Amino acid sequence: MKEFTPETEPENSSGHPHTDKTDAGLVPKDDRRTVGEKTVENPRMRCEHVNVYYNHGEKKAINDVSLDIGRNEVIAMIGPSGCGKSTFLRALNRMNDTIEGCRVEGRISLDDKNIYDKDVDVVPLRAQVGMVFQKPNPFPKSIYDNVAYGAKIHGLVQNSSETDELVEMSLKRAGLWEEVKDRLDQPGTGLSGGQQQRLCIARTIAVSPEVILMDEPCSALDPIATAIIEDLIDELKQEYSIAIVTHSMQQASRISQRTAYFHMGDLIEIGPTDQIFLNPLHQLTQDYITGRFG
Amino acid sequence: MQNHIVKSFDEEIEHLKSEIITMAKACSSQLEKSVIALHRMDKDLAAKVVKDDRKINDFQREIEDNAVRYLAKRQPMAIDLRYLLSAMKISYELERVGDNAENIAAAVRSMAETISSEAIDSIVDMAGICKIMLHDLIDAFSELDTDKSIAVWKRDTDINARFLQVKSLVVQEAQANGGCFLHDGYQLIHMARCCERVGDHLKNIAEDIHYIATGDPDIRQAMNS
Ligand SMILES: Nc1ncnc2c1ncn2[C@@H]1O[C@H](COP(=O)(O)OP(=O)(O)OP(=O)(O)O)[C@@H](O)[C@H]1O
Ligand SMILES: [Mg+2]
Repeated sequence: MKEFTPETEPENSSGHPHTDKTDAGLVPKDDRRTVGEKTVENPRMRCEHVNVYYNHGEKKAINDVSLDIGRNEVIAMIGPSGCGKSTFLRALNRMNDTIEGCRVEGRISLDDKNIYDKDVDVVPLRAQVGMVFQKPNPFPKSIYDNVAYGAKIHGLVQNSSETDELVEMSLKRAGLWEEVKDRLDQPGTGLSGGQQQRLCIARTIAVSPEVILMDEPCSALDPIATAIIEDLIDELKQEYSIAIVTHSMQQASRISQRTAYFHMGDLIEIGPTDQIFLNPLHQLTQDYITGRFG
Repeated sequence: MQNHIVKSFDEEIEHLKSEIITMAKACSSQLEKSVIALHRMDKDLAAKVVKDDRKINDFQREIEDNAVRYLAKRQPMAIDLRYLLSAMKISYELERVGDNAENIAAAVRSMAETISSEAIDSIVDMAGICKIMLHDLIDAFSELDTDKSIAVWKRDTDINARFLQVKSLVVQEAQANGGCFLHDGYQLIHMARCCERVGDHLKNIAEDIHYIATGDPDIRQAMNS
């Protein structure tokens, strides 16, 4: 009879935290160069070597970030609190201009035109690149005026019937029309949180944007209102490019085609969303999305 | 696999890991007993192996239930997601290893007690290689060690070679012994076939471990590079 190898206890590898260990095949934590494909073909927006500073250069919040935003795509921006997601998002429509002591370097172009060129007027730029905030912020006006206001300012409507049409169309696209069509004259602030957020989306859509920036648009909403917004985002990408900041990994994986992971001002990893969440390339990305100590 | 901010998730993964290791050891022991039964023509031991297969099936159900529960509860990403999905797959492969041990034992029960065949040693040999592979897989799984899982994956060729050996041995012996050897000869080839299948399942487990560790579903690529 042949001998069997004796039963030996397999070594137990648990109980020894290796916080600085790099897992098989991953880029180690201290390598802060972006991994993944930053560019897409024929992008809507292109960011090249973007730096953003606060406090007159004292604090660097975004460090040499390059990435493209494609046409008809949803790109999710994720990362720990304070990593610079909102800062980067605001750079995309020059909202940082209003912050005293904030400076943006590098090149950010919309359809090949540098949005930081001297001849760019930020008012139409912010219509082209609209923004939806974390906290719904309807104007203290009627539902109707909330939607019509921007379009009037930008001269997108000539008369009241055109305005009526635009308001109806925008509210329909934002999936809010059926709920508010009988009370358009009532204040927007009287709507529920989820409805207010859709009102803000309708307001953004009404001025014919090319890109919609969303900074944690669902963080104050319940799962149903969130699902409605997510479904809406899915629809909207037929016509617009959408960049969304979210703290929900599940949300990012549900709605986006590409995901960018930021860490302390660096763009660490960018790539197809499926890949980022199933098989990330960088240790920092993996630690963040799996909820491990960084 | 540790270091989650939520410590209870670490505990769940640790629990799943120990369940899989326990199941792998149980499968190893079933396989060992089945060939000891063959070697000694011990039909009582063979009967026990057949009966104990139920326990292996219970292990699998338990592991699958836990993995599904953790998936639903944690909605894991990246390596954690791969781990839970692969844990389910590994438990399935182990369950099939157990089935093959059971099949070997069942065959022992149907054979003539007076049988003498050189093929028996080769089958015991095959099971011995499987046991070593399983042992190494437990290490590879505990440490998510891709080198070890690749080494196990490669060993499957040894088993395949021995299977062919058993086949030709049995054919020779059948020719020498005539009709009375037919039933037992068939059983021996069937047992060797079972060991060969065990090797395939172990190879699949090696691939699963490689996938957990690297996210790469194709272990062959890793070996080429
Ligand atoms: N107006 C400002 N003045 C000075 N520093 C600022 C200003 N706004 C942001 N910062 C700093 O820049 C860094 C990036 O902040 P930012 O708000 O972009 O992070 P974030 O990723 O959006 O975080 P969160 O997930 O918490 O919203 C932080 O260190 C923050 O303190
Ligand atoms: Mg923010």
